[in-house]
Amino acid sequence: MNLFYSVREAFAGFTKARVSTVITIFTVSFFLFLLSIVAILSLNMNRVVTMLNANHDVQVFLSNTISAVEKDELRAEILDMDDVLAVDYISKDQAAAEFQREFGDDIFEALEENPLPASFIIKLNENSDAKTNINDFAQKLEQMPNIDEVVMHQGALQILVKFSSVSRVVMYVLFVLVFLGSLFMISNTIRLIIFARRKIIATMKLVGATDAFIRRPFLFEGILQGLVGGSITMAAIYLLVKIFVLQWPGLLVVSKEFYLIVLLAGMLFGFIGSLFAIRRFL
Amino acid sequence: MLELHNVKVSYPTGDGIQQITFKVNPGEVVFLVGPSGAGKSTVLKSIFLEERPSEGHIIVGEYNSLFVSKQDIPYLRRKLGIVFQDFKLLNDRDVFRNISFVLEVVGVRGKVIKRKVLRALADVGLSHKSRKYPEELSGGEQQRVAIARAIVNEPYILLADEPTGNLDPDTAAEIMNVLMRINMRGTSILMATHNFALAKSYDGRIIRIENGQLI
Repeated sequence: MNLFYSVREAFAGFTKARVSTVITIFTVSFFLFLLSIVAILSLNMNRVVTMLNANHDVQVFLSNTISAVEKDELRAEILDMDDVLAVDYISKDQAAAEFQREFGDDIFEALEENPLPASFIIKLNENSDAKTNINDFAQKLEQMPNIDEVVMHQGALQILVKFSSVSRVVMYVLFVLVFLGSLFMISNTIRLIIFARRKIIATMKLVGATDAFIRRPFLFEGILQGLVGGSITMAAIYLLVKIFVLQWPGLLVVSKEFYLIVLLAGMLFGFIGSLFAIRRFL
Repeated sequence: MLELHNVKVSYPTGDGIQQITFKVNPGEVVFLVGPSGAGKSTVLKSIFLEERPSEGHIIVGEYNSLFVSKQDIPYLRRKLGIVFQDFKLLNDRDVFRNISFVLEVVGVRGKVIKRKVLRALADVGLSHKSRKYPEELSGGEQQRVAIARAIVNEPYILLADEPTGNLDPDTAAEIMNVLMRINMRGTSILMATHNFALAKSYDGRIIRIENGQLI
């Protein structure tokens, strides 16, 4: 194997067919950009959902007849459950004060007795199973003694969790479709370059070159095109994220590794695209 | 060296060659002469297995066409030097790289490549044009590059398919002289031509072909 020959040929091809090389590079960039956007959205959607999750708790209202001892026992029992981080007690009086603070009315003016039940605010571990299976968690609570009602303030949370699992699937499907589409388009573009050199390829075969020998420079050239295309995409994403973060700080995070993956994906695109494209001509 | 035994190649159009049997001995020049469409090119193509014989077999050195797999074909072709009527140079590289290509293919080292290419260029009288691109050369010069490429690997035999077909008489004579000089050094030559007069004026055996058969 003559590696030096292949690399030299790849660079030569790179500089000779300038127009088609530029077209290929931008095709790689464009599709890589589309893929990156899909990937960033799905990665950061998980993030937004996790952020919202962290702010939500489960509240259980206690029966009015619960004694102090029962209350402490119940609290210990809930604390014992998987995924429970903390259990805060809110007494009837605290609930009334909260009510007054929120609505401005003194509840005792209209009623002689405080109708608000005491409650526990249950904080869940982040990333706990209980969050995704919140209904199962609620059912377990409801079966415990002296619990009147389980309230999940997080109707929104549930929708988000549902939405995020659905949209995650949508994103995966979208990602795969864009990925395959990109490969197809890039391969076709590269095929144009190779088509222009089909006579040269035929001659190479006539003078004793093996298919592998002919193929290798094209693969290197594809990797090189992918590398340049990937770099352009990397720069574009970097700028876009910068601008976005200036507008909405903290909502979008793109790691250094992501940029590296973009670059590698560009090279992979170039490689596989060339591999498919050259097959027709050998 | 080179032997064809009862070779048949048929095309869907009905043309082709059949019952082709002949031999080229080491150091020999053989002219395959016949009118256009007689099957001369097909005979040559069957030798470098661009066309597979449907009957008979061909022996090139240690290769027998019956046992040559698709993967072996490039290795068979490296034992042959082939010159075409339309030169078939690689237009994307200069003269030097056109010739060095066949050495790169077999994995010859850089220094040796340089020495061999310069030698082959000297043999065809084109040492001063090694950095020119094919399109910058005349037809005769392009054909000499093709001949240099064909001999640089020291083939068993040089196959030439109407090598002077696209050239004026003076240039054709020049090319013939180059080929004869190469033959003097021991390389066998099998040359297809429609020009009987040309074949007769050089020292070599003449085989005639018409309608796909030797006569």
